[in-house]
Amino acid sequence: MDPADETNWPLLKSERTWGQLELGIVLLVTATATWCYIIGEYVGYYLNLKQGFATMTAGSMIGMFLVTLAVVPAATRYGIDSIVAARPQFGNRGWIVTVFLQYTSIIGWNSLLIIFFGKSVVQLLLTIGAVEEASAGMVQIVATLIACAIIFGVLLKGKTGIERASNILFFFVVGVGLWMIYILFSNQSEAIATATPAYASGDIQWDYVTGIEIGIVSLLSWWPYIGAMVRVAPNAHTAVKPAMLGMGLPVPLLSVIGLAAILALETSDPSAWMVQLGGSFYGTIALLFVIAANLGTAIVGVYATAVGLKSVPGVGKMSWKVTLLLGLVPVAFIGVVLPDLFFNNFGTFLAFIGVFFAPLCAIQIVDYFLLRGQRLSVRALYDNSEGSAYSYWGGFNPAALAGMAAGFVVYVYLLNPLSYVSRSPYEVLTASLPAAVAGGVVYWIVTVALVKPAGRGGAN
Amino acid sequence: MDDRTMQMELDRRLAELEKPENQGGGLSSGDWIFLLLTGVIGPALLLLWGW
Repeated sequence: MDPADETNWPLLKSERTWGQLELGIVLLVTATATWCYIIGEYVGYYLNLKQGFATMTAGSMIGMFLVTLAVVPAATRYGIDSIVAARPQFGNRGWIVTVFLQYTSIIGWNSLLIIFFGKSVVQLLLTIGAVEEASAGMVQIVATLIACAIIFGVLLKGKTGIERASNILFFFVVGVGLWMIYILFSNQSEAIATATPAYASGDIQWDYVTGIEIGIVSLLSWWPYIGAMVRVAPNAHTAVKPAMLGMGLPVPLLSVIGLAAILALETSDPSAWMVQLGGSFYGTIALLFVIAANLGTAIVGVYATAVGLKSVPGVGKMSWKVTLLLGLVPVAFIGVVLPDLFFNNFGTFLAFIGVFFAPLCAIQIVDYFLLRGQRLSVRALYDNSEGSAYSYWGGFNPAALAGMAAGFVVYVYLLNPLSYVSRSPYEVLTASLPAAVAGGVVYWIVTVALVKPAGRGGAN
Repeated sequence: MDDRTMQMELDRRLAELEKPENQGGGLSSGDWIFLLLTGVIGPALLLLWGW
């Protein structure tokens, strides 16, 4: 394996070998997972097919636009991941904020994906009669552990392993995904067209904005993943199209399956409605699709976590295998020991974690484009000393902390991410976009008023 | 790799990446147009269509 794969070091020009096609395939396989059905299902609670498709796609592309602008230019200029790219804004100790967000977010999502993986394997084996109902619990545990072992094995090869796995999964995921859309729309076109959303609020403007909000906040969650992937591209030009079309667009397109299914068949779970439409054979294909899609995403998630964790001083000296285990063991533990407890409670935590990505993206955009003229000190990115340009005060930048706090307060004022109870002007502006603006503006003001005059942060 | 070798390797990488010719290029005007089309104008048109 390339030594740079075992660290968070910047990749050299000679190591950044992924073109648009390679990066696009990896990002598409990353984006395609069970959450697409969940996103579609949520939007389908409030909106019909046309409105749901329009809002979900628009919101997703707006969210991807913010993530792309925040991460891609710096990551591709210097070959760095999302965490290292956030050091100029948060400080050479403030990275702990972004590592925490990345680690908890990806561990949480990966746990969900692995649990879904295990459940799908159980359903698949039950469908084909390979196991009895009584042994389902044990089969799910074994499937979870096998998934973790596969992820570990793939990632021993670093980014090369990801590329190979993505190339294998790509055709199956895309092919079956398109086939499922065809099956659903050709069988249920009238029911889908005439269906009304079950939980519409009665205020179409609120429902419409909520569809946009779900799209934006879903795609903002790509922030922790994208840096570790796009850093393998040689420049921003190579990464922009794969990011927007490979990682942004597939989510709403695949979420249409969940949206249409919840409207017409009142379930977004493909393994359930495919059985309704085509019997156990179709159900088996749907389960294989879920298994493959979740595996691809989980592989990239663990890789991004491992690269991000290399910013933690103690972890930086650990072997690659041990670092991978730091990303995998919590997932395996949750998947094996407390899947139900996790299902019932961890969604609360993830909902609040997601709120932070809007101001985080805005802070990075303001910093890189408006305050630093698209240039970073690559040496200071890896300098943990007090004398570093990015040490600020004790390693923390108050501008970033204030920006994050402002964004969080604005978001939860406008929209409770758990109950979806909102306050005006949410029904006009969404919650993520004002939170991003608040985060960016506060960061800019504190930087100009306090950080720059004090000669801190290296942006003078 | 021991600590010293790792630090030397990191220093070598940083020295190389400090030279602008070894850095990746930024967003071109075409990239900005593409980003605005897919991330701002396209979504706005979609929202008008869906309303």
